[in-house]
Formats: sequence, structure tokens, C-alpha cells
Amino acid sequence: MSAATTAPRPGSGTTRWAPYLFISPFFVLFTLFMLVPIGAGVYLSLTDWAGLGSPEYIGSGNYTRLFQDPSFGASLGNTAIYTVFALAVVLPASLLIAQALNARGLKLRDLFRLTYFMPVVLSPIIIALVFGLIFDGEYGLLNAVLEALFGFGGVSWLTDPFWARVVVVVLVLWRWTGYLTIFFLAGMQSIPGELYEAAEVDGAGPARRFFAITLPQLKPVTAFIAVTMLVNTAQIFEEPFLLTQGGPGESTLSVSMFIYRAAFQRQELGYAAAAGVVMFIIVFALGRLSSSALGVGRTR
Amino acid sequence: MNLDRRQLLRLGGAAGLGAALTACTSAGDGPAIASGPVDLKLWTHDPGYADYFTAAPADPALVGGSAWTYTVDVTSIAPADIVSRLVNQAVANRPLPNLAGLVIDQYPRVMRADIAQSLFVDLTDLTEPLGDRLLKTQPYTVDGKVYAIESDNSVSVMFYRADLFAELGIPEDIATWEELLEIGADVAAATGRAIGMVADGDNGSIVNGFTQMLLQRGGNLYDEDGGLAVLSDESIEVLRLMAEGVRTGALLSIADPYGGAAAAALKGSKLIATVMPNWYKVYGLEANAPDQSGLWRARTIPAFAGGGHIASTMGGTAFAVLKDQAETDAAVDFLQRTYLTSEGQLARYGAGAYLPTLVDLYDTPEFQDITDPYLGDQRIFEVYGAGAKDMPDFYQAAGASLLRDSLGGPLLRAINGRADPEEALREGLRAYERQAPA
Amino acid sequence: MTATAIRTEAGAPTPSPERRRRRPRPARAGLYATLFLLAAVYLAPLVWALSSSFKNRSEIFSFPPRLWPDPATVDNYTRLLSGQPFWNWMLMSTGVALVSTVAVVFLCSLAGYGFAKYEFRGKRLLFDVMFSSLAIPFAVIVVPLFILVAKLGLAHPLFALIVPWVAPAFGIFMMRQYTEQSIPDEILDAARIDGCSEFRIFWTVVLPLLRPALGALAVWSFLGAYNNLLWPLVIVSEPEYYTVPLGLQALFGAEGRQYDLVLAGSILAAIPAIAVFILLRKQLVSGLTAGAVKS
Repeated sequence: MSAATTAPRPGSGTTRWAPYLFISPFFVLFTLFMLVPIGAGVYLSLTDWAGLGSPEYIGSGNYTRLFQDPSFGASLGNTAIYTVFALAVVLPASLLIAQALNARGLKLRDLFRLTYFMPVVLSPIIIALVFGLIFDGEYGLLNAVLEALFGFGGVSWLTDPFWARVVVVVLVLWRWTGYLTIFFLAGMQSIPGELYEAAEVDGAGPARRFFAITLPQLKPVTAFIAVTMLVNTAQIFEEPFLLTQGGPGESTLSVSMFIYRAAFQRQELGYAAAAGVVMFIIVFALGRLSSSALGVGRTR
Repeated sequence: MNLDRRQLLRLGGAAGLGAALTACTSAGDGPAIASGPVDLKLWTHDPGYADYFTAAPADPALVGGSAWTYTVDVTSIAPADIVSRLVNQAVANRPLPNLAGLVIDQYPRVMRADIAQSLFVDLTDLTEPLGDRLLKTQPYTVDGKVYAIESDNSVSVMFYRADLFAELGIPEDIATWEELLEIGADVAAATGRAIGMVADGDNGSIVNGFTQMLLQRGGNLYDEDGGLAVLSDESIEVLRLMAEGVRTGALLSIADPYGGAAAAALKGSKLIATVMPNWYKVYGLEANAPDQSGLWRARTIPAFAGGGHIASTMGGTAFAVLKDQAETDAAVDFLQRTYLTSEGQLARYGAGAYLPTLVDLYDTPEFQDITDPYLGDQRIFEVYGAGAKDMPDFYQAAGASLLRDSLGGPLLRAINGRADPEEALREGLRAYERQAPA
Repeated sequence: MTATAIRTEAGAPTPSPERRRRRPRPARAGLYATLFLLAAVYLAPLVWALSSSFKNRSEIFSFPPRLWPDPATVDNYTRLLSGQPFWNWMLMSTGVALVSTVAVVFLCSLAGYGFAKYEFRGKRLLFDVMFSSLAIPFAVIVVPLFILVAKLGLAHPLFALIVPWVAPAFGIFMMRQYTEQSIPDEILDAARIDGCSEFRIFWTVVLPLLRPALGALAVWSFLGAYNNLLWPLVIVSEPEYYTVPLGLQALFGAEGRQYDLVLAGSILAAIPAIAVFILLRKQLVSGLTAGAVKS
């Protein structure tokens, strides 16, 4: 860490206190709007409360109920599917696209990048609406195209439990691949060109160069993206909420939707808070574990 | 021990929150306005009610003789959000409206944890004097008290394309569902057209469609005392019938009966008949197929061979008055005048084709003489009147939204022929019982 | 890596003519074909939305689907703008997004600078706490946060939509990475010798050098606030404070699913977001580059 050598000499008081002042807004907001809510959530999770009147203390009742609740189980399972998919498919897909965009002398690179990033720019509402139009089982664009091309088009995309999950997953793929591509591309462009030149002199082909140089050099980016993606997909809400409302049945329900539904559609705040606590334990543990395993966010 | 821990939590709380939570002060909204000008704030999801309520203060037939002069300020909010926001605003001690329109299948959310009691005025004093004249108070009754007043009787009838029925040789007076589905199967095989639809999208639509048929057959989701009544011979029979209809193509699966797919099916004349409540004529047929004006007709629903009713009901919106506000008394008066008088009910039909909830009005000349151009100038109250007199009662209870989400998936499987009807119902009920708060 | 090096983000090392020859032509054609196909997949839904927004209600779902509206009509737009307070929603959305963005950019670069260029007791622990908070899903805190904000009387939409979110950990992390890599310590030392106060150094010396990263952070923050749905859904109950997503959500849930109006509204709402993105896209790439690469 180079800053250590030239760090401001602890002379004047203001210099000593400056960094604390600079980082304090975060910690004030973090305490007020994150730490306190987490504590309050733990308290709420031990109560039965609809929001009006006083919370009634019921001990571990919410947790007992939660672990018997098939909907919660379903939401955990669905969320796991989304998350695994995001890591196993979205991540590699964006890496490949980045590799393609990083091709030497590629024309229109800026335009492609702009296009692939577009879903992040758009409101989730329009995305869900258009996907609804496209994937409608009876009158959707996709079935019409399939019908015209291959003569079959009767897939109930949004009303069959299996296909509905597929559509949510496709939406995740479509929405986030371009975003991740930018990170990978950025990472690739900061790999020193000499590494490739040396490899080429040794006679390494494009595939070799990709596996021997690009991938290892990208490890820090990949690790950061993987952890971010893990946490983001674990809290997926908008895609299933807007596209399928968690249906058909509860086959696309996510944990975030489960919490929202319990709290704000069923007025069971204590129960929702309990689900939040469980989610916190799982996601935070996974996030921290993978972060330290991959060495993300270390102060150097 | 238990008490000690609770006190501890109250005092210290996990984050000092316990005390804050109980310190919910209710807004003292100033002294009650006893007469004179009053501005009422109203939340609803339906532009039809917005039109009706904003026009009502100018109609002397409605507000003549009132101590107040009204202005109404309407805000449009999606049905599910109205309940959420009423509760959220109350929790946060932020401004609430004076009147709120609660869609019938959202109402169970206020039936638990004393929410209705703490937010709304008890309107039983208005409804009780009307006795059996007033329909559809059961769904809004909590512990014997009525907290909201229905806007639309929502009588389900069968809408059908008279031109295509004639062309395809389908009799207009088919007596039973069984016969109708048999003919429908032949029609579907020959032409690809369907004589009815089932919803296969979100849980609400699936369960509502099922409930509509179940009520007609004489079954119910809950009994009068709020006990579960889903599993019955009637419900199994209804599910079996729906599955059979879907299998033969007589019934068309549509994700959203009010959305684009239904619009396309209507427009393409693929859906040539459907059993739906009166309001579907406005929001389903007219909105999506304006060019088919004059081609549609309505009739009472073919009966089930095994018994039941010739009408059913689905949907509806009731208005509740928020309590403890300066405008509360005025709002109760306004709701009474606009909703529970003959004049009000007639004006309401004029504004949005909402059917009267006072049962004797159906036979009065004011209603009997109404003809509907979209339905080929049919004297429509002959149909609605017959339906209103044979309407099944619909009961709901606090767990209804949970029930809806538990039943949605299994019902869909049964309707699509992938599960046995009885098994599906039992599975849905098992899920419901495991989730219901003890 | 210095700021100037990052700013030339336009591409990989400039290829020499000799090297370019090595890539066989068919492979190159395949590459372009793939990229164009992918671009089509990305644009198709947007084009479909754009085209559908000019169709009348019953045409939107016509079967077989038609790409070009026939008849084309601006009826959806005029009905939206005349019947709904759409411009209020836009004002609310852009206002909240802009104010948040200014605050986010300032507070994150300040904190990022604090972490990057100072040594102080507890730095490691504080940094770890800050970084760990990235692993707390919003759904975990949404319920208690709502209660807290409500009970403390902070539920006014203009406060609740902005204040809790003005110092996001992701932004601080990104700014710290960038600051560490692009601000030479010598400049800071020189400024200190000149007697500048610590904040003045940040304001006059550091901030201007952080420009590309500030742009990236601004895009990230603006889009996040502009398109946010879950928190506004929970905290905004009064329609006079609706943001665009809330207004459109209400239309979509209203009787008869007014997707014709929602389509028109979504297209209009996308314009500021796309504009911000296109204006600041160069900075977005370079800022993210530094933020993520060397973690």
C-alpha cells in the first residue's frame, strides 16, 4: 500500500480526525438505516403484529411456522435456482461476450456495448410488460415466431410452472449479462498487452491465450462480480414480481417476494421479519464465505 | 418468565424499538365537521367509481337535504395497494383518505388482527334497517359487523355471441353445463372456437374463476361462520368439469381474463361465450372488442345437472369510511346517500353499469326498461333480475388470501388434467393449514 | 494505472497491420454475425415496446403479431398525458434521482478518499464492516426499516426515498479503488505543504481528478434511484409523491389493465434514463474499470 509511506503526518488535530469525518456519513446512515433495522427485525420476528395496535410477543412461533411453511420452502428453492443459474450461466455468458467485444480492431464496439447495456437502463416495469407480451402462451410474439419457423408454438410460457421459471431465468440472463459484460471488458482492457505478445511468440493460439492469460488475470474482477451477483440474485424481486407475480401457483416465488407478500400484502409483519432474519443469515454467510474464499474486498 | 421477557423486550428492545412500536399515537384530526362544505378524499382502483363520486355532489337527487356540501377528490390506486397503503399510512401516522374502495378479494386482509375495526367505521347501523333487501353484505362482515358497502352486485351471467351461436347452430337456451360443454367440445373440434374460458395465470384469477363456478354449484370457500368449506362433492365436481372442458377445448385457457390474451381471443372471435359478472361486459367485452357491439347477448348461466343456482358472483368493490377524522360523519352521510338509496343505485348504474344491491330495484320500471346497445338492445335487467334473485351467498374470512395462494397451484394442475381434482384440493388445503398462523 | 491511461478506454492495444492479418476472415465474419444477433436479441423487446406503444389497445395483442403498428396512433400518449399526472411522476422520479445522485457522488467520493489515502486506527475493521454491508440483501431490512422510518416520523416520501440511500457501500468501494489507483500521493503532499486543509485538498485537488469515476457513479446511482421499485412501493402511499414506476404500476393494476397507457408511459420514462446513460457512458466504463478490476 503506497499510501502508507506518505500518509499525512499525525500532526494537526484536523488531519487526524479528517478520515473519520470523511467516512462518517456512511457509518451514521449504516447504523441508522441498516444496523438498527436488523436489530429491530430480530425483535419483530419474535412477535405477531399487523402494524396496528401493539406487537404481541410469541417467542419462536414465527420460526416454527416458517420451517413448516411450504411456500417459504418453495421460495428458497426458486431463489436457489435463480442464483445458481446466475452464477453458472449469466457469469460465463458475459465473460464470453466480453471476450468477443475485446477482439482486436473490432468496429462498432461502443455501439454493441451500448446495446447490451440497455436493459439496465430501462425500468423493470417496461421490461416485464414486454416480456409478458412476448411470452404470452396464446398470443405472444415468441409462440408466433416458433409457429412460423418450426410449426409448433403452443408453449404455455407463463402458465406452466417449469416454463415460467425458465422465462424468469431468461429475463435475468437478458437483463444482467450486458451489465456484467462491461465489468469483464473493463478488466480485459487493463490486462497488459505484453503478456499476450509474449504468449504469441511462444506460439499460443487464441484458446490457449484465453485460458492461460485472460482468465487468471481476470480473477479479481470475476471474484468481485461473482459475489455481487450472488447477493443480488439472492434478493431477486422485480423479475418474478412483475412478470408472474410468483405464479403459476408459487412456482416462481422468490424469498424477497415472500417477505414482501407476508408484510405488505398479508399484514404479518412479524412473520415477514422472521423470514428476513433467515434470509440474512443465509445470504450474509454465503456472501462473506465466498468473499473471503475468493479474496474480494481485502484492504491491501 | 414469559412476561418478564416481554417486558424486557419492551423496555430495552432489540434496538429500543419496542417502546417506539407501541407509541403509535393516532392523529387527532381536529374537531368533526358537522355541516357545511367538506372535501372528501377517496381512493379507488376503478375510474368508473371516480366518475360517479365526483359527479354525485352536483346531483340534487342524491345530496339534496344534506347538512354538508361535498367536493370529492379521487385518487387512483391499484386494488392490492389500497389495503397496503391504508395500513402503511396508519402505521406511519400519515394522511389517510376519508373513503376507500376495497376490492372484494382484498378485503380478507383487513379481516385479521382487528384491522377493519381499527381503521373503519362500523356501518351496521346503515345496513341493518335494510334487512334482506340489501345483498352482498356477508363478504364484508367481521364479527357480525359490516365495515364496507358493496358497489356492484356482480351478477355472473353467460355472455355469448348471438351471431356465431346462430351460425354454428348452438341453441341459445341450453339448460345445463353438461350439455353446453358437450356442444362446446364439438365446436372446438370443428372450428377451434371456445364457449368459455378458464384463467390459468395468477392465483387470484385461477381461484376466482373456480369460485365462481363453485358458488353456482352451491358450494363455497368458507361457511357462514368462517370455517373452511372448500373440500366438498361440489368442488370436486366443478374441478372435474373444468378439466374436461379444457381437455376438449370447449374452455379456453387464458392467463389473464382482463388482459391482452383475452382481448385477442375476443377480437379473433375465438372466444364466443363466457360466464362472467356484469362488469365484464364493460371491462372485458366493450373495452377489448368495441367492434363487436350488437353481436353479444346475455342470459342466465346454464345450471348444473346436479343442482345449484342459475347465477353466481365474482368480484365487486365495497367502500369503507375511515374513522376518527374530521370528515368521518360527512363521509358516512355521503356514502349512505350515494349507495343505499334507490336514486343512488340508479345513478350508479348510469355511471358505470354497476348493478343495484337492493334486490327489489331489479323489478322497478327504471331498471326493467334499460336496454343495452352493446348487447343488441337487450332488456338486460330481465337477465340480471333473474340472476339477482337466485344469487348464491359468498362468504370469506381472514385466511382467504392465504387460501388463494395455497389453492392456486394445485387447482391449476387439476384444471390442466395433471392432477386428480380431489387430490389437488387436499394438497392445497394441506399447504393452507401448514401456513395458517396458529 | 493512471487516470489518463484509463480514459483511453476505447479498446485493446492498437493492432499492428501485420497482426490483424492473422485473424482468418470467416472467423471475423462469424464474430460480427454473433454480435449483431445478440444486439438484435437485446433490442427486440425495446423495439417491440416502442412499436406497441403506437398501437391501439386491441391491436397490441393482434395475432399473428405485427411489427409495424397499423393503424399507427399516438392515442396512447395523448390519453396518458391528458388523463394522468404523468409529468408529476416524471418530475418526482428525476428530482429524487438527481438529488440522490449528487449526494451519493459527493459522500462516496469523500469516504472513498478517506479509505484510500489515510492511515488511521480501526481502518481495517471499518473497511471490512463497510464492505460486508454489501452482503445484506435489502429484503432483509425492508420490513423493520419501514416500521422504523414510520414510527420515527421520517416517512415523508421526499425524505425516505433519498436520505437512507445516499452513502451506498458499493459506491464507496468503487471510489476507494479508483482513488487509490489514480491519485498520486505526491500531489496530496504538495497540497499539504501549501497549507491546504484536508477538506480543501479533497475538494480542489482530488475531486477534479476523480472525474471519470464520478461519472460512472452518477450513472449507477441515477439509474438505480430512477428505476427503483420495491422501496417506493413500500414507503410512498400518497399519489402526489408517485414516481414513474409507481404511477405505471398503478395503471397496470387498475381495472382493465391499462397496458396501452403503461407502454406509452414506459417509453417516455425511458428517455431521461437513456439520455443520462448515453451522455455518461464513457465515464461509466472507465470508472467501473478501476472500481472493479483491482479488488
